[in-house]
Parts: sequence; C-alpha cells; structure tokens
Amino acid sequence: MSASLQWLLIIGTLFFCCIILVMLRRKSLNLKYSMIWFFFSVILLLIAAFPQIVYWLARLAGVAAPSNIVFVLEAVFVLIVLLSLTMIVSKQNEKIVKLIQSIALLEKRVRDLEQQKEQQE
Amino acid sequence: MKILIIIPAYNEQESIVQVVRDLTSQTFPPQHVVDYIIINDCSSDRTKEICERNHLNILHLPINLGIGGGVQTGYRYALEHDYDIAVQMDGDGQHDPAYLSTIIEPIENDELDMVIGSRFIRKEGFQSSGLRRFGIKILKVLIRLCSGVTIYDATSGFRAVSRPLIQLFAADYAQDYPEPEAILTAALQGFRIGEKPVVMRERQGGQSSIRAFSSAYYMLKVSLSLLICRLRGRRNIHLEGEKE
Repeated sequence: MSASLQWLLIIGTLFFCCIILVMLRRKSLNLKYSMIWFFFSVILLLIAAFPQIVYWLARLAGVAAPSNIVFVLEAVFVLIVLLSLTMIVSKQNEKIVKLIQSIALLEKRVRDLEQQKEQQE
Repeated sequence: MKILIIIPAYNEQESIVQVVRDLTSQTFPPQHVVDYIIINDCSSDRTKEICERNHLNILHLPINLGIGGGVQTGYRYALEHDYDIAVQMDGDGQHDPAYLSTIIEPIENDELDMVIGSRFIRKEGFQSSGLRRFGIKILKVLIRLCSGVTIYDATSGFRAVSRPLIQLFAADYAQDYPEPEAILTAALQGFRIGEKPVVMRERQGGQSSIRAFSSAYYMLKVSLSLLICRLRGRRNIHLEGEKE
C-alpha cells in the first residue's frame, strides 16, 4: 500500500467521521444507526495506520495488490450497512402495519361511541 | 358462542352490500351470536360511502395494507371484542354464507381449531383455472412436507378459527400472500386443522388478491415463505389478551 493511499484513507475517513458528527449534532441522524458507520471508520483508520494487516490479508487471500484488499473490505462494509438498512426498514414496516391497524380499530371505536352518544341525546 | 365474520374488502363496491345481505338473511342456531365486520383496506372506489350509507359494520384502514394486514385487523377486532370463533369470508361474493355452519361446526364441537372451506373435496361449483389448480396442488405438497398436514385448498379464504388461533393471528399473521402460510403457522404450533367441502361461486365483482398467480413469482414467493416458516418452527409468540 503506497503512502499516498494511506494518507488518502486517513483523511477521507476522518472527513467522513466529521460529517457523521455534524449530522448527529443536527439530529438528522440517530446515534443508534450511526454506530455501524463509526465502527467501520475505526477499522479503516486501523488499516491505514497499520498496513501490515492488509499485507497479511492479501497473502492469505492470494491477492497480488494489497490495495485491492482495502477496496474489497470497503465493498463488504457497504453490503453490511445496506443489509442493516433493509433490516431496519423491515422492522419499521412491521411497526407501521400494527399502527395502521390500531388507528383503524380506534377510529371504529370512536365512531361507535359517537353514535351511542347521539342516540342517547 | 360469539362468532365474528371477517370480510376483507378492497374495491368491492359492486358486491359488498349483497354479500352482507346474504349473510344477515341466514338463520343461525339460537346459541350462536353472529356478527360481521368489513375491513375496508383503503379502497379507492366507493366501497366506503356505499357501506356507510347502508349502515354496515365497517372498519377503515387509513393506508392500504394488503390482504394479510387487513385480515389481521379483523382478528385483532375479534380479540378485543371477545369472540369465540372468527370466520374469514371474501367480500366479492365467492363464498356462500349457507356453508358457514359447515365450517363452524367442527370448531364448536372442539374437534378442530381451524377449518378451511375447500372447493376440491367434492369438486363442485367454481373450480378456478387449470394453472391455478396446479399451483394449489404444489402448495398442498409443500405444506404436507413441512407439517404433515394435508390441505387440498390452501389458498381458500373461507376459513374458521378457534379462540386460541384468534390470539395467535392477532399477534402474528403473514402479510403478503397469507392464506397458505397461516395454515402452516397454525400446524407448526400444534393446532388441529381440517377441511370441509364447500361450493364456491365465481366472484361477483372485484379482483382476486392473487392477481400474480399466473406468474411463477407468486409460487416462488409463497414456497419460500412456507420454507422460512418451517425453519422458524415452533415459536413462543407473545399473545395479547391471554386469559390467565
């Protein structure tokens, strides 16, 4: 891994962390969902600081250029984040269904009660 | 015995009033209190106005949920109002309320927990297209492989369930194409499931919820959902309103 790629990684990752921090400060991001980004940023920083990890991984996987390992890792990170997003969407979908049903049930109850009241009056 | 007929309705303006009239003109044994609830799944036609003008008992979902979420609302309603038996019946006039007692009886006698009204036992009445029947046969085999229970008409939306199953379905019900999966869920939880012969009519209006049936996509999705359901196996589902 060349020194310039190393610096690019460090600067890029730090910049990325800054963006996340700003978004957290503005409350446009939930801390719960930003943890996964911080986690991957830390790993990227570690790789940039200790490129030996990448050399070792490259030898293990039989990849000629260690920088390719960095790209593969990043692709894996993106996949994991996407999967976690799909998971969040699914969970939210389930909650929304329950909410819609509850609203319908409550609306029916309100309608029935109003009717009862009208009849009493 | 309090019995609730759940009628899911999505764009059924032509048939819904007739379906309810057919239902309420039935005579039931005196020990039965039979009510119905229409679940209007955010219809884009005049279903809502027509039902309200005729003072039908109706529940309006503010956002379209599809057949699974709609029917589940019915089960939650049944649970809230303490019904002993819930019956699902389509809003398009396919199901003849004359057969209600046929599918309610085994539950009342505590012989079964879930009774499916099946077109394929006596092979009378509307039988659906050949391709659909082939698909339903595959579902039969899949459900038998997964649970050992044989159901000939797994996609039938004409079915009655007991109180414990009302609790289960109120807490957990399949959302996309729920009919076959609901059978498997109930079977895996150890409930007794059976079929009774009924005669179905061709729908009087509206469209099947299984519009994609002609394509392989429906089969793929349902098969996958059945297999996943089998993988989950027997679960401890938190049931609301459980009697201590």
